[in-house]
Amino acid sequence: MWEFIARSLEASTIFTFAALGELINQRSGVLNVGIEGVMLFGATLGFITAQSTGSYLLGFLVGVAIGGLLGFLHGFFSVTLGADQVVVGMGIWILGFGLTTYIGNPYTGPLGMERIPTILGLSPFFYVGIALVVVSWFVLSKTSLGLRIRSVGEDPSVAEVSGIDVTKTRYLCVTIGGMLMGLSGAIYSLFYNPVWNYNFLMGWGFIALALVFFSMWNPLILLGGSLLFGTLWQLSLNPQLVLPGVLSRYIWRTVPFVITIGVLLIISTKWLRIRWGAAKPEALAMPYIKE
Amino acid sequence: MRIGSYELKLEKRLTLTGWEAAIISILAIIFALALFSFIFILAEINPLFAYQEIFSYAFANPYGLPLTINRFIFLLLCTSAFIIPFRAGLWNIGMPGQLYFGALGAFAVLFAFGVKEFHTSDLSPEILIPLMLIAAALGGVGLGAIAGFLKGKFNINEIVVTMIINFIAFWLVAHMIKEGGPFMNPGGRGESFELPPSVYAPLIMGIPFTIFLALGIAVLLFFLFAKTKIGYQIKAHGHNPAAARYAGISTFKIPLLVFIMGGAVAGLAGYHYFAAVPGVYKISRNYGYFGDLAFYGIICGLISQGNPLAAIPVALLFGGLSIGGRFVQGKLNMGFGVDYALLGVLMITLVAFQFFYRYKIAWTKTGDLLESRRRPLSNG
Amino acid sequence: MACLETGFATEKSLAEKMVGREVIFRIERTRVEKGKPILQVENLSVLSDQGFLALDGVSFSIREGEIFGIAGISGNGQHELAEVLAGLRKAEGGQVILAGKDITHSSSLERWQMGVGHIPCERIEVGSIGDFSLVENIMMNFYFDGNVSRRGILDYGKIRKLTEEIVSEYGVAAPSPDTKAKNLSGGNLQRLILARVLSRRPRLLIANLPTQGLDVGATEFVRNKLMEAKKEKAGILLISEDLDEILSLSDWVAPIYEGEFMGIIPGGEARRESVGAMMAGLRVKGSET
Repeated sequence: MWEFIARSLEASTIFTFAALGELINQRSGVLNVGIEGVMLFGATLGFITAQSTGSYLLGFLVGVAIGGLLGFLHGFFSVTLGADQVVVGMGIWILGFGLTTYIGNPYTGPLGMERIPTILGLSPFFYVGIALVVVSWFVLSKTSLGLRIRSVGEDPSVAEVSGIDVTKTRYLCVTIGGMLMGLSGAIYSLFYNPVWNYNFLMGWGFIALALVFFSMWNPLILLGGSLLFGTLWQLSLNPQLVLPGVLSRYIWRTVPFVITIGVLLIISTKWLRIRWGAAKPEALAMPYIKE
Repeated sequence: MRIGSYELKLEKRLTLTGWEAAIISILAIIFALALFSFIFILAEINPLFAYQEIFSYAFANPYGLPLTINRFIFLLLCTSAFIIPFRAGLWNIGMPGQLYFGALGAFAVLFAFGVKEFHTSDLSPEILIPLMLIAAALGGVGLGAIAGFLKGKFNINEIVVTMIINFIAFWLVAHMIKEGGPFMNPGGRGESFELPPSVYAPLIMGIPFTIFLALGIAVLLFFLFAKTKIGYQIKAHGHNPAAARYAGISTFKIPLLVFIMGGAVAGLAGYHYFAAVPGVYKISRNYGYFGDLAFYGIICGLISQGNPLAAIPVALLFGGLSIGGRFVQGKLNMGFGVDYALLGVLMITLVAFQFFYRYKIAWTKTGDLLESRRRPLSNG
Repeated sequence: MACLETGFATEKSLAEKMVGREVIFRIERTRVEKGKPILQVENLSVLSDQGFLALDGVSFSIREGEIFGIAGISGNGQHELAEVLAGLRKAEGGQVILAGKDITHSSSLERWQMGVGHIPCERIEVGSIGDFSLVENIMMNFYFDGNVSRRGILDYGKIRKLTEEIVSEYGVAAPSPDTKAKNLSGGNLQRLILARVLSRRPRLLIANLPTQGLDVGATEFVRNKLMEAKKEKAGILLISEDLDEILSLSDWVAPIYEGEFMGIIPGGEARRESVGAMMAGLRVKGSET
């Protein structure tokens, strides 16, 4: 039973990092639908680095670095060139999905390294994740930096007039966001599921995107959401814990996804819709053009 | 920026003609192929040699050409499935799931008529094949309708929904064809039961009749957008949903409609690949690969700027590239995933080139700069 | 170009010099025979986007050939009123009756077909489609028309001809009917929208801030067109932030404040001071309906 809980929490950690990264993006007004692509790069390059150098640290660093780079790239296309952010995000996803399939292929298989030591039975990242959520929540709601970020996401022209550099703020957020996404991918491949296979993220990047919408851009709710999803995911892999023998294991694999859609439906119901609309950064996905 | 005595500037475009868009698209493809040569260089292969091999296998080889054409039919259908919602301003990235369900639908018809047990059927193919086509389209419609409904009624992001449905559909197919599922092949092997020869899709000069389906749908779509009331409403919604709503266009019905139409076409792509391509005729173990290939439809759709006719040559090119890429991967001993990598590079190049659809590079001779800054003479 | 000595420049003469001809500032309220009521609104309540009550039990009626002017500062419910009458916003309670028929639950498409015309306050975001050509923009009000759409196929040729006609009639300055709407100036865009809506000869016209942001020439043009529509027996709901405009054009003036009409005053009796006060929420003695 503990094994199940531990794995659920591990899975939730990955959702937390990825979704938190996207939340920071979106708070500043930039939409990145290609989270999965960034995660795949972080996972694959981190895996390759760690396996080739024998160093976990290097693997994670590479994962963070490539994530930041991709975030920066997204920022360049979306903020500087003002392109359609959905197109850019799709581009990053397909780039990730396409290139990592090829690059990672020679490394298909287990990582083959000793597991990262755990703290109280859980990976250190779990605790870092919770700390990051609290820090993000604090920064966004209580500090002036957070205020700058939020105003850029709500009304960039007003922010600009008040002396905030919209471009710099957005670049900051997409780069940090990308770093978190890359890191989440590296955690996946180096700790949670250290066996490389192409497209092994199985849609987690998109679930993370749904989680950001579900969280109404509040890091604390987001943490709750990722805990829920981590548990659901583990459940879908181990249905025997809940309903032994019922339904094939393939049907169980669909459960987290079906529930994701259910959750999206719930936040669209009348009662929540208005609050959701109010919490949404007004300028989300709209390119800001300086007059 | 200065080069010699010329000044280069970036200017926002006021108009974009079809020809200009086509040239940008072609440049994007060429640039992507050039960029992709790095993959060959890293594998210590001469890129020019590699491309030569790719194109000659895809288009000049008696084994490669039919593969290319079948791939082209598949891609054209997927592209059309992407284009319909795209013109409405919506993203259908659910083609993989929709085509899986299309295949399931077609095989369900056979299953219903006892084909699985008897490996043949009393019913003639003239009845079975159209039924399979209808069922395939309906399978895609079912999934598309979910995304379209959720978007139209609740404004739920269609990218998340279609992608999530892709995974649901993926696992449902696994359930149906593996480990004792209803469509499983009696011999096991993690694939579906096979099509009996009597129900093989009719071939014309070695090409399945689905080519007419794919081309016909492309032409019909072009006509739909150019001339019809529905096409107008879809386009209006795509350009400005608020204005469309003001003009009385239903922002519920349009998303639902375009996803139903897109789903139907993607479902047909599923029929095509798994029931019409010679040598396949079953839902194979690696069905996921074809789901992934469907994403080429996104790129084709973007390059052709949502024009269903322009998508035809683009789909043919990409059909050839992906078949040729696979071939070269094997022949030159490259790792698995060359066609995936190509997909990735093409997409990111296209994203970068999106910029040029909106801005152009303007030249002025520096001497002229002062001239152009003088006010035009006024008439007082 | 002429330079006027500041001493001699009045508002009127400056405007004349800008536009190049005499400008009628106070348009004579045309005497038109009033017909039967075209619009009856009873106890209408509507919610805003934030979920608050934007319109609170409003009742009024407009007769054919009447201009009903809503005077108010933005944010007091007038835009929601325009939307609910056009079918773009749901009524929480009450009734909207067009020529005797209850259209409270009719769609916006049905209302266009029944002769309701709507000139929205947001020209670019709602009233037109920037990437569409002039022809395609005109099509916005004709794609559902039986003469233009036969068995699902649109007669673009007919609309093209119509576009050419009304573009010249309404003075839309554009190189060709294929020009994209986003390349038009504000004034020209409004002319296009007016052309499109008015060429359908609506029975009820909802004009929401029709002259906002327009230069003097365009403003005059719009007001003249409204008077023409009035002469053709259209009932017009005019929403404006320009008090002078409301007072000079309207047969009835209804100051709106926090979703309620502070009164409904006959045009001839409305005065700036009292209407202005009512717009700010004060009830002025002797002005109750």
